[in-house]
Amino acid sequence: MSESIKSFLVHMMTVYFTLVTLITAAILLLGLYMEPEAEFGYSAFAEPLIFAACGTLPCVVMISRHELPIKAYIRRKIMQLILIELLVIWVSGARIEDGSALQFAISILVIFLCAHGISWLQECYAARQMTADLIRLQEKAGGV
Amino acid sequence: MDIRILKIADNQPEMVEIRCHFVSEQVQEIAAFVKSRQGNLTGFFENRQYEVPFTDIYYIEAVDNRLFLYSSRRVYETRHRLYELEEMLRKKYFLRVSKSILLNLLKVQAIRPAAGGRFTAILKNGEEVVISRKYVPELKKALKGGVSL
Repeated sequence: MSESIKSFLVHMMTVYFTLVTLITAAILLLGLYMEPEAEFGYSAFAEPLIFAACGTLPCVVMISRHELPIKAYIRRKIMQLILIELLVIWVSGARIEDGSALQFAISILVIFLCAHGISWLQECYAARQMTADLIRLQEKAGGV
Repeated sequence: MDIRILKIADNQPEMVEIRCHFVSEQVQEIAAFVKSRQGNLTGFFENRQYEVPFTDIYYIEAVDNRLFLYSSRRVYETRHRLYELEEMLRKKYFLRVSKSILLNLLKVQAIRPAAGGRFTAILKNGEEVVISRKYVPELKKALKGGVSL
């Protein structure tokens, strides 16, 4: 398996499990606020897993053989968000008439932004690590 | 001017330190000589040929089938190919960070995240160079000492 496919699959798995966590948290918070007395069976535990899969699959629109310029990257991100919204709303059976589709759409947007926020924090950490390693390398080399 | 040579342990970096009251022409000549002993690349600027020390080059970029050396003072064109310099300069701490750029790691001040899984190298002269996503794993390995530089 090529390195790029491997790293893409690792990225998808990271996204998937981040989404499972965020969706579980969202269901908890929204449920406590809107229907605190509701009771569910064990099948309810499948919902975060299914919705996270719906949120992960549209990552494929970001696949590109060449590195994307910033504008193209943003366009594809918007496309990814729209696909996630449509897929999750369809799978959940939420309806526009009773407003549940709008609630889902807002929740999906918040989770999408939180997932990207977490990803950004991970990249900030990676950059700090690389800078520290860089300084060590330069000291070892007697860098000018 | 006194000259002292101090033998150091293998684990310490070698360096030439010039102590002076002010940076005279003589001092600059000595510094330029030391830099030149570390290796040069031939570069062209306004139809004149220059020997550019590796230590002066911030990065090398290929644009429209032409190759340019970016130093602190000016931009020189060189007749080499990027892949040739990639191999030649590996041990001089130059690393490929994108399809068209070889970066001198000793001239990088910091690394910052950028959109799309990319990173940005902030150079010591304030310029910024984009590190492509594809080259990030190799850079991480090189910084940890995994890839022989």
